[in-house]
Amino acid sequence: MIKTYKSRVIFNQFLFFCMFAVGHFILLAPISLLPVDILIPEVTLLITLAVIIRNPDYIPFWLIFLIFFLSDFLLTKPLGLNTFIVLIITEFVRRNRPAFIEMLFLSEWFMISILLFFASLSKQILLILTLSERSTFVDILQQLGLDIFIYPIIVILVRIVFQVKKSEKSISYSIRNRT
Amino acid sequence: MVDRKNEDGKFIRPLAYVAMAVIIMISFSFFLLWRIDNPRAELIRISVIDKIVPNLDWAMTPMTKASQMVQNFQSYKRLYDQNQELRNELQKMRSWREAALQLEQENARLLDLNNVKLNPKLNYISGKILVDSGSLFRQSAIINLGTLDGIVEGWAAMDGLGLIGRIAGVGKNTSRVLFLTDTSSNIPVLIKPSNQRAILSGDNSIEPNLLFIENNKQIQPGDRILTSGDGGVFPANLLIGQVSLNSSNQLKAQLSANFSGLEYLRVIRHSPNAPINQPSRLIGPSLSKANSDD
Repeated sequence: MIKTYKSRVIFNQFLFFCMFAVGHFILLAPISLLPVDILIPEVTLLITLAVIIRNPDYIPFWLIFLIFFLSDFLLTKPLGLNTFIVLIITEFVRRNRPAFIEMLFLSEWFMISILLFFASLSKQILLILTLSERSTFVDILQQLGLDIFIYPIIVILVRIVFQVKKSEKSISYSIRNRT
Repeated sequence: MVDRKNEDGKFIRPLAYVAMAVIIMISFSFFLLWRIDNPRAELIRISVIDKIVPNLDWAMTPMTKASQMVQNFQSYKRLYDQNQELRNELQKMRSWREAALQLEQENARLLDLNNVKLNPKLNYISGKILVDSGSLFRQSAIINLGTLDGIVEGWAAMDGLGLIGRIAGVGKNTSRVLFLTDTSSNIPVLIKPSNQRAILSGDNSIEPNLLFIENNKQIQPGDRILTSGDGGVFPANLLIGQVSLNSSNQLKAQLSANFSGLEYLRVIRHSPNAPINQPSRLIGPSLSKANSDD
């Protein structure tokens, strides 16, 4: 039983990595070099959060580090900043998983919105403190709104693709051990 | 046996926490490095990209080709209209070509009469675009030319007609081209025929802003924008585009380069002239020659 669970975990980790790779392929492909006005939601982050609430084993912290660090490199973002913030908020979700499990979906959505808000706020504060280049206030708000709006769709996708439910038990982060 | 499993868990858990803390520290220190020593961090970035991106070519090619096929198919639908447009344009172009030929001959004759020394013709090296920036707030692309091809940071990149941007970051086999449309691109330009100087500043739209113009009144929409060569980064007189006026009366640049179907671009080889940084000195007869005459 444990063996099959382990292989499922490895398979899902691989699947997550593949989703990341395909997503970044599409982003990076030089299809049109015109500046576009369409916002793209931060799908990787949303998937990560949705999966971690459902089964934290599928996305361990080293995988998060690998993926977001690579994404920082490839997408010319401030190196390491996004990784740093994502690691902290995912760890927060991991630690408070029992509370997330008990929530109804609406309150989970609300909590995630608050988390995303604080994530982008802390990112902006760090960028301001280090006098780095920032995008405009309107752009950030639009991005945040889009991310929050799209979260339920991501959850549905995650449930189909990863076959996870909230009631699932994870081995390394079992609920009973956390008292 | 059951106990042993628990023991493992007890042992691994603290280790995992330590690893987690280390990883968080690493990512934050990378951010600090990026901020404090930006050129070095960007060098690390370009070397990572240099390792990854050229290997993605096999996967990128089918995707870009497929999207081009879709675009081509869409253009089939209005083939007839396009044909008519092209015929009209060709007719206009013929007359322009005639005028250009006559002017070229006249120009050559006049230059010859005046014994003018011109700048040597620029030569270039062509490269293929591998990936774009993948982000909404960054306008750049990675091309398949690097230090091995002699690329130097700051060189100008053009499509067949107009300026696209400059090289910002060179790896061994790849380099990044920062487009004119990026918010961190500011280049000195000259607006003809009024010879006004300005700064062309990108703002994430296809029409960059024209800033710091001395006299706005002398500039008309439709005036040509060229690089001025000030600052010594770009050679002078590369075509950029035309002046246009947007709805809120701001001066913008309509770029001549075609960004939508960009696949290949030219990097202009350019070594700036040695700067004159010494004050002028007294010029007299050369002493050694005077001595030998005695």
